Amino acid sequence: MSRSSEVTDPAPAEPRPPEEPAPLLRVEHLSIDLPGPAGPVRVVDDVSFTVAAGRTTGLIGESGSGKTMTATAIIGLLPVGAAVSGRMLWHGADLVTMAEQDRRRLRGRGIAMIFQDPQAALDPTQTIGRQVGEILRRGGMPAKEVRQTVIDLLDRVGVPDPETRHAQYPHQYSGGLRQRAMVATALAGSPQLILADEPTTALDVTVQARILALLRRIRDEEAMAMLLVSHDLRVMAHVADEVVVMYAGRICEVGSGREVLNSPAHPYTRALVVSVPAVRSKTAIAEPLPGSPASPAERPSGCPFHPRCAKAQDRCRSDVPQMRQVAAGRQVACHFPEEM
Amino acid sequence: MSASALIEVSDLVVSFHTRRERRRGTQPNAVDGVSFALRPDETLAIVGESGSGKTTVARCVVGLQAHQEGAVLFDGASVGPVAKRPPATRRAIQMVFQDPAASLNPRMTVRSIIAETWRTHPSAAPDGRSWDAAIDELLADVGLDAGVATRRATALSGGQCQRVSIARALALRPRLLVCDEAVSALDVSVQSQILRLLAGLRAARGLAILFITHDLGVVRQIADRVAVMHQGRLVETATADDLFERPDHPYTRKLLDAALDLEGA
Ligand SMILES: Nc1ncnc2c1ncn2[C@@H]1O[C@H](COP(=O)(O)OP(=O)(O)OP(=O)(O)O)[C@@H](O)[C@H]1O
Ligand SMILES: Nc1ncnc2c1ncn2[C@@H]1O[C@H](COP(=O)(O)OP(=O)(O)O)[C@@H](O)[C@H]1O
Ligand code: SF4
Ligand SMILES: [Mg+2]
Ligand SMILES: [Mg+2]
Repeated sequence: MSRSSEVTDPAPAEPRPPEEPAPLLRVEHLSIDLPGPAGPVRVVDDVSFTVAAGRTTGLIGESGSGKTMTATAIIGLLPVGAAVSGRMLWHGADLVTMAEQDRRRLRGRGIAMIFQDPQAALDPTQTIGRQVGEILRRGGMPAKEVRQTVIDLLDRVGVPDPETRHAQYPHQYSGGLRQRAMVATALAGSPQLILADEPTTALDVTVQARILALLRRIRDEEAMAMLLVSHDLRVMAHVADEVVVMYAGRICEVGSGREVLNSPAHPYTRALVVSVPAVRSKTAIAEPLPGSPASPAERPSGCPFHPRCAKAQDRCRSDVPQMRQVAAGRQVACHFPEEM
Repeated sequence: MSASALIEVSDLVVSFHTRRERRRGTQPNAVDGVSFALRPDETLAIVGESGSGKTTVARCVVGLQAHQEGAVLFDGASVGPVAKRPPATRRAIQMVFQDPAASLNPRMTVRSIIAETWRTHPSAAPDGRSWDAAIDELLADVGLDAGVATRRATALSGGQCQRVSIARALALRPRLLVCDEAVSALDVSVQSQILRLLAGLRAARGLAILFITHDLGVVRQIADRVAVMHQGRLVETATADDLFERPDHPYTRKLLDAALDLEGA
């Protein structure tokens, strides 16, 4: 926080209220083009948001809406051939133009990522302990200390019997344990920002509660910032301070987590909220949205959600709705937002 | 036991330890005496914490995992490892895996991934119409547009991969579908589409579903019965209504208490 305000903030005219700390990461007009068979495809289109120290920003959206690509751009591991425009300001430095060796130095220590697919992210030929401790070893920590730190980390994320388990290989871990190992790997470098891509998706509710509590505790104690990518709105409602809702590579709604999920202003957010199955009461399976999620390669004209939106009018088919403020801290890209 | 059961699992024991470790008996078994039966049109959910043995049970049912004790009966006949099962049985039991990306061949297009299942099991191939049209229809069923057919698994997002593996399993018109966290990674809008599809197939074709998930809200919506697994054992099996309204085992209550709801956040 203090470090970031030295360099980043252009002109902090007035002191901000404590609940709105200066952003650690400021993403501005981020667009990402990936090579496709018929030319480049814009998978992320003009996305802006911030993540502040000690806060959690949640990224919600349909699969394929560009959440992972956004996080991958921040960590600097986009697929070959990806073209990025816009800015990603980290302590005032633009990650988009930063030299690869500086980015590499930042990875793991400044910014760490918990990947969506632990199976693919873990090396099957190396023990879990070795992979969790990799960054510590590279930083020159003595082997004995690395071992103990790794065991402590595994214990913290809830891997049972870490004394034995650290020496095991990924195939000996269940799906949920692998995910916890990923969280331990990300925490090992004591990063300032964690990008967590669906970190609790395959976890049972008790472990999920534990991991979320752990991430929250670290966020509070170490003023760590977190960008949480999840399609699980229940998790978001409990963890995210701010949420950013994406559809077809674009942002449709931004606001405080609680408010957006309690009274969504964008019809898409609303459709998501009403489809969440309840545990404490029996709900019928929700009426699915008509049609399929828009693919970025064939993004519909105007509002990309219009083919599936019950409220769509002529204007929605031709004019792209711009982000506009509808209430304090709440922005919506819709010509006809819901009453809040 | 029950003559009407499509699949019956009895006293299943799986251990990943060496024989010596097992004899010493200090190490718990991954699956430790699990029994359940499933009627042809029934949906049974297995819930329980990470590492409790759910996936291992599922892998035994589809024949990808050997067990030390107990039996898996399909249509009343004992079935062993997948390679030794008759083709009709292999086709009849399909699984959607927890790690979708890992279960799809990255070098193949989505179209060839699905077409390959029909080449392996010609009896399930669509007759009297083009495979391409049938593939497009399958993809639409799981909420994917036809453009996905020509892409490779590596160019799909996690949720898209997951839906491709559901489409691949359904392409064989199975009688039992084993879903290991098959919808957990999907957003709610697509999730409800797939849950409706599964509920529809159960009603129309008498599809039996073994549904493994951590999402108790989904369980409440689609399961007829629920089995709660803890440290390799089933601690409680009950109808969904009973389980949610009148949980019996303390562990079941703990699970229900830990579950998040959108309301009350
Ligand atoms: N091939 C293997 N070799 C050794 N141990 C294994 C193997 N597969 C699973 N295990 C162990 O068996 C136990 C049960 O694993 P399983 O994958 O069935 O759990 P699960 O209930 O599916 O968990 P999750 O919800 O995390 O997916 C775990 O302790 C796991 O570490
Ligand atoms: N390596 C890749 N090459 C080409 N396209 C990709 C690649 N990874 C993802 N995509 C495409 O980019 C879009 C956004 O994907 P992603 O960010 O993974 O979505 P999300 O995480 O929101 O589900 C999707 O259309 C997806 O198919
Ligand atoms: S702009 Fe129109 S189509 Fe888009 S969400 Fe709003 S009402 Fe629906
Ligand atoms: Mg993703
Ligand atoms: Mg599992």
